[in-house]
Amino acid sequence: MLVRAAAGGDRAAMETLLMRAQEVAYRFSVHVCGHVDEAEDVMQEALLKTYRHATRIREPEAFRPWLYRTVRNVCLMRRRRRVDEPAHLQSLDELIPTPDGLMALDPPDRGRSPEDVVVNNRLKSRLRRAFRALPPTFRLVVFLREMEGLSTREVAEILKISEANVKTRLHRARLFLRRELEEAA
Amino acid sequence: MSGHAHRHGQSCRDLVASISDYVGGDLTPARCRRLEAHLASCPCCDRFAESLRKAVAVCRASGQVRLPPAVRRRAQQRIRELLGDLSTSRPTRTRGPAPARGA
Repeated sequence: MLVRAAAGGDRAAMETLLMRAQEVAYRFSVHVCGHVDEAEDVMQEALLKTYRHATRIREPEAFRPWLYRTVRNVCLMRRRRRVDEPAHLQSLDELIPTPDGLMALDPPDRGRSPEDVVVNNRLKSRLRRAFRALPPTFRLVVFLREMEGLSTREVAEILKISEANVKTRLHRARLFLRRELEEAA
Repeated sequence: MSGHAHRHGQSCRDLVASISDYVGGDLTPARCRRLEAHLASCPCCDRFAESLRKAVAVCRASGQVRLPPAVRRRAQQRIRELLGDLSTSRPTRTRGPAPARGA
């Protein structure tokens, strides 16, 4: 509905769509690439590509997979451009929130006991470490399916792999994350 | 997770992938009902499903990252500039100040 309205010239719908595209680009940069400092460059590219694409959309239902593929490609291209790209991902735990607010992975927990907050933060911290330890192909599947809430079919379409392959990767990743979280508990 | 056999000859280990699909909502309703019946009678698989469900829940909660306010403001600014909303043309800041990094 939103995509169709944006493609049809609805200004408010276009603004919402472009903001969502930038949000996806930000989350992808933070979670999958681990380059928070480059997130806004990726957002800028995603914004322009989405705007160009949105004005000539024929199949609105294909927009979401297109957006994730595009953001993924933008990130991959940026990585290829950097000759000094480190083999490992930047540690998200090392990032310190700044007045500029570049990092907001942990919005404050409201209405929870201090004990809950401690446990919650410890689990999230553990999860981030475990998530980073996943091979990239598994990390991407977990990000798209669990964090972004895409369907198995959509994930398969984005990654150009079978649904069975998506499920297998998800299954293995879940087992790994479960083990890591259980050790933290 | 033990590998003990059940009456129908299926061991718990054979169900691990199905439990993962179940937790992810990828089972058909019929398979879902069969698995739930099994979970109700097998504490071992039930505990495993619960721990997997918890891991997925933490994962989903961690993915809910909101744009920091300053980043959101710049994102909105970029949209306004792109859509030609501003009377004065100002250069777009594509990035915030670089975060302090170790040498």
